[in-house]
Amino acid sequence: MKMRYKFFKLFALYLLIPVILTACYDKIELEDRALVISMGIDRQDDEFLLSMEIPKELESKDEDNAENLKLAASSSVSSAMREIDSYSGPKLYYGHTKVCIIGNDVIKDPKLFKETIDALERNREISRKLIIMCSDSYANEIYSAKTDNNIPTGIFINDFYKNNIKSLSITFRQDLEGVIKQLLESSNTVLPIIKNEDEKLKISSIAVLKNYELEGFLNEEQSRGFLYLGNYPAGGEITIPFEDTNTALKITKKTSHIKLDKNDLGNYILNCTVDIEGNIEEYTLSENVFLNSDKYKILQDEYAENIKKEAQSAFELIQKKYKADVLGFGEMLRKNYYKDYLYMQEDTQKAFEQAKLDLDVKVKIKSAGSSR
Amino acid sequence: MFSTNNKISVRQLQTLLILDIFGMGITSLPGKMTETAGQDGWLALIIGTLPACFSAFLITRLCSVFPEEGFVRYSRKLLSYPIGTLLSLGLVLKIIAALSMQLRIFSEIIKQLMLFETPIWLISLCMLLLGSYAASKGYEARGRIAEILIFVVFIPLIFVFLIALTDVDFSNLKPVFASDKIKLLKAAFISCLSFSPIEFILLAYPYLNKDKQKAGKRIILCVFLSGMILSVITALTIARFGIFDMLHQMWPVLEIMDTIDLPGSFIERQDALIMSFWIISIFIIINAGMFFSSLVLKDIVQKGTHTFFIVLSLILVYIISFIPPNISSLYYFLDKMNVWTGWIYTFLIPIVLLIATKIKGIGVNEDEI
Repeated sequence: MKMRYKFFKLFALYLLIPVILTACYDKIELEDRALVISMGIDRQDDEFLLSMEIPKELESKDEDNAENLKLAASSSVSSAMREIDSYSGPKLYYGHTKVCIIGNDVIKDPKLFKETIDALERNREISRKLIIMCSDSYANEIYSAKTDNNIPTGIFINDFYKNNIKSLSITFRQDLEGVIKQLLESSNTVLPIIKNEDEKLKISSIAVLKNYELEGFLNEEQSRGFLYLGNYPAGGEITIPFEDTNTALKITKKTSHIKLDKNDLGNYILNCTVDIEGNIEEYTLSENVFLNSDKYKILQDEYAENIKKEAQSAFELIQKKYKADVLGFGEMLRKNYYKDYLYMQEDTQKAFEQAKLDLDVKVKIKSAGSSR
Repeated sequence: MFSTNNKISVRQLQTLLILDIFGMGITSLPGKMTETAGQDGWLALIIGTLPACFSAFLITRLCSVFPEEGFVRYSRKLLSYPIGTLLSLGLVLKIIAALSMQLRIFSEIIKQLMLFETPIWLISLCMLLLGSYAASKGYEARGRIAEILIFVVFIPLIFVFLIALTDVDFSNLKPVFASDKIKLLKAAFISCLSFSPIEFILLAYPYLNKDKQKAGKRIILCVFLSGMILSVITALTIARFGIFDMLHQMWPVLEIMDTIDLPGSFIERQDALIMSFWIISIFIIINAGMFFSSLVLKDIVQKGTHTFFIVLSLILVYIISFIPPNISSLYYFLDKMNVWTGWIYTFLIPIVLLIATKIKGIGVNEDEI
């Protein structure tokens, strides 16, 4: 009798398990869920215009990207999100959202930009690893560009960064966490730019934001210089004229380190060391000149000089023209010269504008390839 | 085979204490430390650990005078029946209130981060029932659960922080010792109060088996170790996010996993990994609270079964957990409660009772410290 009672007790427990351990309240079947792959945020009159890319079938290659785009205009980003959610059949899910493109009009307005970043951060489903980019015009226009095999724009951008992370030279991957961190530290940040050029997507150059609003752009050369200076992975190729021909160096490794020092006169000096390793990818059909170690040295010095020039020019632009501390000068000052930081009442802008850059670039050519 | 004498070893008590202290502080303490002492928050935690160790010393010293008697009994013996009863009731109320707040915090976090649609009342109820069931199985069962769960808690945690180490900037801990000394001491005081599970030693000591002689030093060591673990976690979290970003986040420790790029990872919701260890430590806290509140209530009333008082505590905890209207008032209540009552049962009462033992001429067995 006791055994039977125990059996029924256990049996009742087993029956209960499927009910209590399946989190029924949050159960959503996959077909009832719409995965938001990317978002575009623009300004339309006094409202936000939200474009949401929700592919119906990721595998479908015939479908036009634009058909997967849902639009909503509202006074806040979150209410625009809710509006799209209300009118779309399946429930929106942002856990797989890869990219957010912010329109030019939004980054020109500090209030709208702050609201946008805050809305993204407060959404618990959105990862802090979300890629943040800005468009040189409307974010919405980016979605009309054609991608290879008609893959969704968000997936295209995500794959672009995934496949090229070590070989990017004129752009970089900025995520929500990076933006928030930089904005909280200095109110300034940098965003990669995405363009729709004749229905082709182009990711290059950098937008500089100061006090939460767009201050200016860095062109491709300046972007490359900026990426050498900052703690960003920089790759790509550098081509310089050498012995009447163009010689290309493929960067395989880049490390940079900025240290803040103060000289005897009380001036701040940003000591930046950039170490680059790479391989010669292209020279000209001739005898193998790179067997000569002197030529290696000359070439290394020329590459270093070229990089130094680009980095110096980028620094001068952000320091003198844009006056935007996007290199973390304020944070370095707080960490290393705390008394000075307190003395400045946490306003490090003037000190940044007067700081000097001492740049030391070392290039190491690891190999010159081999002629078969 | 396992014994079933409702006794635990000192090692089991140490494990329970580490899990209790850890679960109580892990979500909010690093943020609170940074809020008060800036980048020196991790140092404040080290400073705060020292008085917590002293509190553990006081409590173990007091308990060694009455190795086989419960708190209710010896407080009545030392301070008279009514005062002893009042102190015991106060302790029950404190445990129930703290437990209710922890339960609500747990439910709020789970609701906001994982189960968006599940109502808070259901999340709270599930955890409370589970904790109560474990509590009803006695102290020995709790000790054994802790010995298993400590690995489940710390292996993912070590894994997460080892990965996080690849993407931390230790310069975020600079400038060291630069924050205002008053703020540093205030943070140390707050951190010391978060070691409130130490007061469970007052109630757990009679359950120790033959190792009681070595208990004192080992308990102090375990409190110290818990403090160091919390300090390391705080330092790594500051190094990972920097103080500005950390102050901006509600639960920075829980966010760490979501922001790490696991090489070759195919998991999207990585944060669930770090949530798992925290859920387990909350389970340990809840069953500790349920066990001790019902135990003290039973000792006060001296009637009824342990299970009956567990049910009573369950109802009280469940109701009280819904009193704070939102998460900010919840943290406000918890902070105020810690500041006003956190030191009473960890410092004041043990000192008063130790003085009373001296006055009454009840000696401390020096071998047992």
